[in-house]
Amino acid sequence: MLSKTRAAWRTPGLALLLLWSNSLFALDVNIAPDTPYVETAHEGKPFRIQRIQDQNHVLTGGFTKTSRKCPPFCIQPLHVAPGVITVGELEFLDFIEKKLNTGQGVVIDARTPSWHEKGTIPGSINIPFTSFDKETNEAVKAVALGKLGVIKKTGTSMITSLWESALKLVGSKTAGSPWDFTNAKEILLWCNGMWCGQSPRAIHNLLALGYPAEKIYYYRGGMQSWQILGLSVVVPNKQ
Amino acid sequence: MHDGVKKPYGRHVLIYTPISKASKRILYAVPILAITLWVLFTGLPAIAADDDYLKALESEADDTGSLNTKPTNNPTPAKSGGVKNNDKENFEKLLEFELPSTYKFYTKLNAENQAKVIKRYNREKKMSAASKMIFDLYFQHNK
Repeated sequence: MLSKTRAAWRTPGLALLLLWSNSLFALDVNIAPDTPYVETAHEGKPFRIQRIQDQNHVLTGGFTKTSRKCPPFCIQPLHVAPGVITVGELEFLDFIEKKLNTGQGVVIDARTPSWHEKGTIPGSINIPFTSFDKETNEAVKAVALGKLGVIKKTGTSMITSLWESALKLVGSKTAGSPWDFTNAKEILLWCNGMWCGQSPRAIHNLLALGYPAEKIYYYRGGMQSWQILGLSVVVPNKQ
Repeated sequence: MHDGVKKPYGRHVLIYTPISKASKRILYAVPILAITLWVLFTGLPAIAADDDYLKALESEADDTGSLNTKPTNNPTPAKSGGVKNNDKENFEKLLEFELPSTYKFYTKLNAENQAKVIKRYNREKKMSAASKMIFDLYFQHNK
């Protein structure tokens, strides 16, 4: 009899305990009023993006630096290219939830590996900006573009050549490109911040290859803004 | 009247003159040299600029040092207590992801009790069992 009463108490008791613990451990430093954190996966493991909770925390190290030689480290424009959307942190996190977590999008850390190894934004994959350069080996380009859902066009029949010519006449940018962008994913590129030219260069080269501008997003704030807001970073596993 | 200027006269006749081997070499060398110079003056500065940019990037990466990787969600690092580090890390990530509130209680446990939880999870592969054990252990020590 006594054990039955105990069992009856246990379930609502546990629920109340969880409610209490949730309010007890609610975050003080949220991302937005109703968003304490955003969940994603990094290198196949679940990862929660949230802000540093220590309200006395200040930045130290390289991202506190104000001045670097320009060129090459010049201030980047807000709009990197026509049709490409520049985003801030909330739009970036929205992209993670709606595009990256559903497999429709890719977040690209466009920096060279030496930067990426020091720490990256969770969910990002490293595709250095040089991968899309004109001079880059076609095989390297194919691997990089393959990660974005872009494949090399195979065999050109007469009909496809005619179609390509017609598209060229209409002014289509992808016509004549050796790459097939039909299944190209939505991509969000970032680098070190407003003084960094690595992701803008990747974007310009992707556009030159024929990547649809409306599928490209640019996070201009980059690692600098991410760090200033105390958002989570992850140090990639060295393989 | 003779104006002092020699005027060509007669029909044009092609006269084949033997060209020496040296002249032939020069004839071939001139366009090759021109192309080489063109490549040098147009292509190389771009490549050199790229090299400079990459060098500057690498140097800046060295200067920047490490990132601010202060943990955003403060799990207290605990000693392994006979559990493989990898198991511990994986379990903690999974627990934090699936049951964030329970995870907070888990972080309050001492290393020995944390290891017990992980061992039980590894044995039963049930998060519910691990969760129950976390609460039991927590309240045993915090009555």
